Amino acid sequence: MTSMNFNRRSVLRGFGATLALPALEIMTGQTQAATKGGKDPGRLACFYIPGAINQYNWYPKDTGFDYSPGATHEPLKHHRDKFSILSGLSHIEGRITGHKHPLNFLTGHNIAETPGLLTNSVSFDQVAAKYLGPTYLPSFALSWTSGVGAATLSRNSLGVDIPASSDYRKVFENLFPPADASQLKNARERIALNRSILDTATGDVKALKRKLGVVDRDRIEQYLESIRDVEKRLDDRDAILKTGRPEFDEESVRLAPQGKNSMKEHLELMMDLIALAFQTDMTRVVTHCLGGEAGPNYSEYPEWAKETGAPTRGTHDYHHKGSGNRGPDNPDTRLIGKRDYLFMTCLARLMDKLESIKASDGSLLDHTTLMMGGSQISSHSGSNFPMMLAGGKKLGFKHGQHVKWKRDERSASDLYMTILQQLGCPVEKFKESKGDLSEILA
Amino acid sequence: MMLRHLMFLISCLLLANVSGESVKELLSVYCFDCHNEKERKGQIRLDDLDELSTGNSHLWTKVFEQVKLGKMPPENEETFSEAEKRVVLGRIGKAFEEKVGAVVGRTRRLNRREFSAALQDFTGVPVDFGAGLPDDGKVEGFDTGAEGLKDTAETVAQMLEVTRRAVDGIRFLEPGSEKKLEVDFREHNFTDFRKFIDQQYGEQGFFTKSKRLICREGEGIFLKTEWSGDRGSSFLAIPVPADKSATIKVTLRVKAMRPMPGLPNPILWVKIGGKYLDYQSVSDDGVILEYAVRVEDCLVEDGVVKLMLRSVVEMPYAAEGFENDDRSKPGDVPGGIGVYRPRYDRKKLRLPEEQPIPSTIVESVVIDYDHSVQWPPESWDAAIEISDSVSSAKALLELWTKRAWRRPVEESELLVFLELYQKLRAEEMSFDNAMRATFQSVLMSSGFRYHASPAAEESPQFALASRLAFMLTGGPPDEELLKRASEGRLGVEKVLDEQIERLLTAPSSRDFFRPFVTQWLVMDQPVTLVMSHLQKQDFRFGRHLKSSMKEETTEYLRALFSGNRPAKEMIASDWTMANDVLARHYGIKGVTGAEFRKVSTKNAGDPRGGGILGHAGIQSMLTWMGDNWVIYRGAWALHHILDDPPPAPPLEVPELNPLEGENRGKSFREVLQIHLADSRCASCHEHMDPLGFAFQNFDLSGRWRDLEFHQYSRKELDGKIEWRGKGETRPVDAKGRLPRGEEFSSYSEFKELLARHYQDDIVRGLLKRLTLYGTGRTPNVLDLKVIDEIMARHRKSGFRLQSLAKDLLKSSIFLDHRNLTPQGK
Repeated sequence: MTSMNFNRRSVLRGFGATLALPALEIMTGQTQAATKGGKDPGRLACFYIPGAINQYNWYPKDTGFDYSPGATHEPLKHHRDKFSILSGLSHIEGRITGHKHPLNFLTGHNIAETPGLLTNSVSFDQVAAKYLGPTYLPSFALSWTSGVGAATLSRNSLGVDIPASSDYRKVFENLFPPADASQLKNARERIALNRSILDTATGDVKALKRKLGVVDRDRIEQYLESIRDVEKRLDDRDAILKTGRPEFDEESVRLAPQGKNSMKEHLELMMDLIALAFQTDMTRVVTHCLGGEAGPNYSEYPEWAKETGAPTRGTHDYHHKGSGNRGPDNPDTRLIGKRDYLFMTCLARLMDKLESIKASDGSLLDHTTLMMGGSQISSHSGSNFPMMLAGGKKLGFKHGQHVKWKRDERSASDLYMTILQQLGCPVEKFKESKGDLSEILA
Repeated sequence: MMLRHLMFLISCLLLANVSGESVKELLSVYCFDCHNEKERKGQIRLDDLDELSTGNSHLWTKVFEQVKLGKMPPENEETFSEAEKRVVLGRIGKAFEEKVGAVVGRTRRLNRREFSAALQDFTGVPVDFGAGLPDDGKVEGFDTGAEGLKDTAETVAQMLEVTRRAVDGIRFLEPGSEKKLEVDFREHNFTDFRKFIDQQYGEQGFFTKSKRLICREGEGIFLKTEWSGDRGSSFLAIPVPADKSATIKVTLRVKAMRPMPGLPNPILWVKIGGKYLDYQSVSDDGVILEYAVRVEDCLVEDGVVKLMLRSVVEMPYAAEGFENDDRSKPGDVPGGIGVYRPRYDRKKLRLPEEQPIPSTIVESVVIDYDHSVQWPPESWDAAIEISDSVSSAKALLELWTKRAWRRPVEESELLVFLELYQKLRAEEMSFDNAMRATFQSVLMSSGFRYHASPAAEESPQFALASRLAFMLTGGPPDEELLKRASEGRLGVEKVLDEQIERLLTAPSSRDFFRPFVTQWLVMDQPVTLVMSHLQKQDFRFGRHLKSSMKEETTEYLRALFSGNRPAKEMIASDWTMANDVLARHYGIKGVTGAEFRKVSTKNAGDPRGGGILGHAGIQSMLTWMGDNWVIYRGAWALHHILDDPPPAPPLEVPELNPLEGENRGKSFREVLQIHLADSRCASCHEHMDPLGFAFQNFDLSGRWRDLEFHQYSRKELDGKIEWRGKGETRPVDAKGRLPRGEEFSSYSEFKELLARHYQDDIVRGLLKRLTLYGTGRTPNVLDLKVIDEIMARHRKSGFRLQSLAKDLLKSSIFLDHRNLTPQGK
């Protein structure tokens, strides 16, 4: 495809180099910091499980360090001391119903408060992004479908949706500075030009602001702030462009799925991109909405349905029927269990990859916090989130346990604040947080 | 105003015994039992509601409205005394009067539609620039809501990219690109299109996979006519540059050939870069069609963007000597592809002019695949001599900035941008590139990005011109509005009336009615999406028919407003708007041609009569769970017609299943009765369900039916649940009840009752939505009062719609009268 025209190999080929490339430093499986002799920063990836879960396979019967993991978490058994199951957390003030959970999963905001009007607040990944940079990209949002609303988990400081992408190629293309020198030069010139364009434009914005009423002034202030953010990003970007594109085996990056409509393949490609982004340190924060509340219908579904004896139909429907207390043998419940299992297989793949990459001290996994969870055990409910946390040993997390809190005792915001603090973000509070979750800290 | 204050004062004195209590205390007595921290009924909590502020003005408005209309507290609960009610409403109203400036914003950024229309207007490049931007946030479904139109680093970054594309499309001193394909097929004769393209244009990178198209000298290329269905091959593959950044402009000259009487005109489906852009009825006289796209917004496959042209017949027909070859099966949704074509022998009749089929002939095509336009557009008569000079740059910049900011520009404002130009020139950038960058900077400023506030002290006339234009034409103000604004006469009532009337009746008002009606009635849902036909159903309806089904409602409401018809006709009349395919769908005879016109339903004996509720586009989209789905139809009517939206379903919703327990063997009406016995469902469904029965006479395709199935079974496919009729049929049972208890036994009775008893609800709902659409904010307490005053003025004359719109646009909801003192007379 044309977009790959400028990767390093083809440029070399253009100069008549036909031999294989020498092994590059980074291909040996180190982080950028390890290669350059620095200290690895923290990373954060958050995943949202859509719809309900198979509660029988998810929740361990016992708690503590000697707990026996449920069938869902079986793919993670070789990482047993690197993840924990957290039960009983939820948004206490922000409890909602229906299919809007992805909107406040990471924000904790009660989006139902003002009818007809969607307000939201910052998602905790964006708080992390504010402090973890600067990187080439401050963060990126992945999804099963490109867009805003329930397709994305990330909201900026104003609570406005950050569009998510499901396009691997676009994600990849945006992730790195261009490889070729003249393109790099063009990119830097464009940044300089964009800087001038914005500088000139803001002069007028400031003049306008003085003439407005309070609310309108706020709105224009938001615009100014957004422009300033963009300017800062342009500067950060320029600094990174100076050092050029990090070297890695570009041809080994898979950007097109082989199947047409496979959830597994989609998730695998995305997980690999996350590992690559963290390894090359192009970004430190990622969110990934694993699916839609009402679909889509992946090609795996007929396969699983056949195995479990559930009828062939889409997500929304069998989540209604397979959730709640219908017993572990309900075919719909088992179907959901298969999907949960798949999510864990993909999480295991990401953990394997991160584990195999050497960081400044320990592995990249030790510097990465992975949070995966959902908002619903049964349909539409928003209490007792199925949550799990993995990685981040060097960030001070204590894993290998099932921690269970009483309902409405601790909030998901407590978890989010704990994660932010462990990542080194100078925050005292997130949404309804009351204090850190000492149970998961070493 | 004085009088109102006086009245309030008097009422306060009279109510001395209760006025000591604060609003909060009164609410605590009647509301907190359900709306507290634990209960949160309807997901609303009032016990922690603070004094009026920016963040809670919506909630206070909701409280005001519910108490005022007597909807809350609910019927069976203890409620406010009249005196207490007056205190609550009075106090809330007063708080809004005191604080409204502080809690209600008046400015917002352009949304995607407006952004695109504005850029098209002053670049002269007809590209939908909005295609490169993410969806706008919505407020109650409307893309004009200020709360949904906030800016963030991401939106600004994307805008930076898209404005670059816009200025890339214009040039000043540079010559136009040579990259062009220009063929007049009337000068050619060939039978192999692929060979022709390969030989003539292969080197430029064009190719085609459509081999068998023939071309005749004097006529052009004959596109094969198809019978709906969704597959087709590309007409031409257009090469794109390596950086995938360019504008492609396609100009086509097409005409229809109809070799015998009785044949319909073909519809041309145009798809570029993976997206359908148009479904155009092709006339016999020929028509020139122009399309422009940005490569960035297209699907690029192997370095090309594909242009697909398909000639389609979407209407069943027969011609003399060729009867219709009806292949539909009993039970098929009527009107599908099976019945489109006439019967003829393909082997005997080989030439297009012998066949009973209309053809689309492509006479010529011009493809500009690195398109840019000379700026300023010739039609502006700008009289600027362009040379590589500062004076030229300044003149161009002034023209651009005035258009972009929609107001006069001061010298000092221009100089800031001119400095950028000069700085870039000093860095050896070319004249054209420096101008482009400077123009882009103008676009990134708030003058372009943000609607000026009508409360602004500077140029309020221009702010008003803009507001009117973006609302009523979807784009920036035209010459006449700008002229009136510069004369300072837009505040004059007569002038304002004339302008509103002019805009509402002009063709450009389609860009108001289309988005407004679509968002008001949530008409962007698919029609005829019924699973029993999943393989073929949706495709049985041609794209032109489906878009015509929706167009009927837009055109009908447009006709009501431009003709200043009474509001009653929204619900009941004896006419509708139709074109040929739609008339055919309804079985109305004698309508030819693709343009919409007024058609009498009375003369056609159409049992639906007039009124939006009987439109096929609406009724078909509401039956996605089956033709008996009264719940969804009822909920939709409550929400969007009666302005009484049902709350979100409770936490655990048990699903209605006809095969479970005591539901077995019952009719749908009986199943619903059982469902109502569940108190969790009843509180809302007792209003929705009986209302929904009014629409039982409409089938899956939105047409009238007299028979319905006695029983239904539940089916599922790919996550979609649907109720399918089975077994015996019986006459349609459309008995039901309106929310305030009026009983009806047929659709026409329902309409009659609705028009008689619910006119106020319907008109209020419409005015509230027009307020949101036009101002970007949900109506607050003061707006609701103004709406009441307007309604009081128009009740007697039957709420004539254009007059209502004029009064709304002239009211304090839209205008700040203090600012608009007419200069001149």
